Formats: sequence, structure tokens, C-alpha cells
Amino acid sequence: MTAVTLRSFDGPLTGLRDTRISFNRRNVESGVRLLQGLVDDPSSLMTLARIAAGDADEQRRQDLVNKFDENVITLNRCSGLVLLEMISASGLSWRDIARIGQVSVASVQKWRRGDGMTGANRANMARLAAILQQLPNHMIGEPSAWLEAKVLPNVGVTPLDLLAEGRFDLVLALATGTDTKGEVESVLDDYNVDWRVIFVDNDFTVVKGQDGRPVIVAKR
Amino acid sequence: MNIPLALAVVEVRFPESAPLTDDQVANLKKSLNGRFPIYKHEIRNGFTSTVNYELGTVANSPIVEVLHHFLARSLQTGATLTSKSLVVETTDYKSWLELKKMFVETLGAVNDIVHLDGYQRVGCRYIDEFRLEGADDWASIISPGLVAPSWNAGPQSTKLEAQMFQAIYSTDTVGITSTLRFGQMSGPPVIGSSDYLVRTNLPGESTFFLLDTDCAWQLPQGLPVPPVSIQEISQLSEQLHDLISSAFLMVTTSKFQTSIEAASMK
Repeated sequence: MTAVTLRSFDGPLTGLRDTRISFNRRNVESGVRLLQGLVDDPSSLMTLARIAAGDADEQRRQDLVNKFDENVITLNRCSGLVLLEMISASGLSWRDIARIGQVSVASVQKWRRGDGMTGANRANMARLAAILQQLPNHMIGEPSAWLEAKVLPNVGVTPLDLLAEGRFDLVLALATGTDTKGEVESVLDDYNVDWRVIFVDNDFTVVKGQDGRPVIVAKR
Repeated sequence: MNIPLALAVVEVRFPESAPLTDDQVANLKKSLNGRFPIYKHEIRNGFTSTVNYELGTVANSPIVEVLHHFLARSLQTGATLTSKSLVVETTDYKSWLELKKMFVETLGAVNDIVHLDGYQRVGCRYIDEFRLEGADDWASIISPGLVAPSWNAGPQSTKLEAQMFQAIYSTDTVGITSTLRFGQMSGPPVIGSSDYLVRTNLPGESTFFLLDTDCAWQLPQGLPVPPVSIQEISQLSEQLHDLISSAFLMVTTSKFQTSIEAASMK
């Protein structure tokens, strides 16, 4: 008889069909390690399939990246204080700036008082400033609000989350060429192939029942 | 009460091989013709992004995956070959022996023609959808431990609207894991019909209890990729199926198992 033990990580699915139930495990997922093999999971092809090769947006996206590169190079010449002023002018909170910079809020406050940034921190801030400068060019009127909004209604991922993990590339991808749900899903695939398990809210929602108490119902 | 199995799958994954040539496809078609005379191919497009953080650049590369589907005339059973995997699946399950035979013979034919470099994962998966007519008294068919508790809310009556759970297990055999996904669901069936695998008598939207049992052996990190051995892969699939069988017996009540046996003998 084979003994089985409950374990704490997920793995790739067998076969061609992804019928994984959507769990909102984001808040309990810390420490969970996905199998390395998941990266090569052929089932992810099902979702990759939603982006067409030879995408007409490819050139537009490349132009965006080139523009971003130029902005970063230019902004790297600015002092840390100037970069912070530019960033804060966009409406982004100090807490969010600290999160993206992967430093404490206290560190950001020190920068504001004129304390020097390390080269890596300044490069991060230059990237953030560059993105914030660029977003309005892509029909994103309020960059800070856009960064805080979920990328899809039922997915617990925001562009801010991506920036906090250094995925400036994916935020650029979201800012352009993601006119359809499938395209956004492809960006999420690139972020984490298991996003449907980790970040998708349940297919069910809690609503106020007739008796005034919360009830679970299937989303329509 | 229904016979619940909606889909059964056996799969082997291998190091990526070169795309099939037209000759190889023709030979495979010829070799598999007795069992799978219908050939369809599917192209899935995607892209992958490579980020150069030093330069701050992003390069997007297209990915094109070709899936070769070899199907039975019923279109309910088929084998799908990609550059990384062979999947044999059916929505018309007769028995494990038949499914395993089909898998082993198909793998043998593929290996004869494609000469696979080795194997890295073997998986076996059964997806059951339990339906009860006019009731959701799952306790009659599902073990009490898996059914959400009834909730006496005092003067207010309660009705279970949804339940979901996933349990992942390791085993004492290195590399073998098992995942159970189960719960009461409402809506369309999780296994539908497609151009590449048909499910007949497709249930409409309804309440059902899902049991998705996925057992797999994965090559542990650090170990060399073993060469393809039909016998070893067959034995692995047998081990995985044993796990799935024990999961089914664990999850369902003896009353239900008796009913299934009776129904299958008719």
C-alpha cells in the first residue's frame, strides 16, 4: 500500500485541459513553491494560445519599449530628489513608491529629505518615473489609479503588483496591446503560469441574502 | 444517479523534440490508423517575453505549438502528440485495461517513428462529475469528510450554494504526487465537447460534485532523464491508476460503489 502525505505545493496538470478550480489563495499562498516543471507545463500553451503570433501590436510594443529605454536613460541623469518629485506628482503614495522600490517607507522619507540613493534604487526610481511619464501617452489618464486597479475584474493582480516585483516589462505590455481579455491573460501567463490558481477570485461571490446575512452564490 | 466519469487521461511528457516532419505524420497516421483513423492538427499561437534588466528592454518571441490529434471514429477517444507530450484521453471510458493498452500501443508507435529522447513525467487523471437528480444530498455518494457540513443557523434555514477544495499529496514513491480537486459546483460541465474530443450526452447547466484526481510521476530534479522504456512507463501508469482507484474508493460511499458496479454489469 502506498502511503500518501498532504503536501503544500501545486504541480502541472495532466493532459490538455485546465479545469483547475479557481481559488483565491493569494493571502494564504506565502511560502508555497510551485514545481519547477510548471514553467514548462505544456498545459500553459492553452493560455499562451490566446495571443496570436505576428501580433499587429508587436511593432507598437517594441516602439513603446524603445521609448521607455530612452526615458530611463534621460531620467537617470536626474537626482533622486527630482525623480521622487516626479513620481509623487503622479499621485502614487509613498507606501506604493516604497513597495516598488523594495525599500521601507522610512527610506523613501529619507530620500525626500535629501539623503542619497544607491545606484540600484535610483535606477528603480528612474524606471518608475519613466513608466509614469509614458502611461498618459497610452490613453491612461490617471496612471496612479490605473496602477492600483486589477488587471481583470476577478484577478487579484494590479500593475502595481507587477512593478513591485520588477516586472516593468509586463506593465508596459499591459499599457499597450492588451485590448482584449485574452491579451491580458497572456501577460498574466508571463507573470505567473499558475495565476488562475493563485490569483483568480473564486467563481463564487458572497452577497447579502434575503435574510440580510452573507451567502455564497455562483457568479453570473 | 449517473456514471460519473467524464474524462480519463494518460500522458507522458518528454524532452522537447523537433517538430514532426510530414513523413513522420504520415507514418504515424498509418501506424495508428486501426485505432485512430481520424487525423486533425491544431495550431496554438503564443508569445514569450524575455527581459533584459540591464538594458531595460523586452523582446517578445512568438511561440507556435502544433498539436497532432489522432482520433477514433467516435471522436470520443484520441491521442494528441505535441513536441513535449503524448496524451491519450477518452470521454468514453470502458476500462483501465483498455485505456492502458491504448496508451502503451500509441506510445510504442510514436516512439518507433519519432524516437523520443526520454521521459520526464507520466500522468494519469480521471475527472468525475457526480450528479443527483433533483437533489444535492451528496452524503449518499460522497464520503462525509468531503461534503461541506450542514449548517444549522437557528431560525434561518441554510442551503449550500458552493464548495471547493484542493488537496495535494506526495507519496512514499519518489516523484509521485496526487492532487484531488473536489467540490460542489453549479453551471456547465467542466468537461465539454470540442473539435478534438467529443463528449456525447453533454449535461446541461446543473449542480454537480466534481472530483478531479490527477496523479503523476515527475522526474525528480537532479536525476538523469531515463530513456523511453514502454514497460517502465506502463508500470508507472499502473501505479498512478492504483492511486486514482484508491482515491475513488476513499471519496465515494460503499453504497455508491455498489450502484456503479451494478450499473456497469447491466
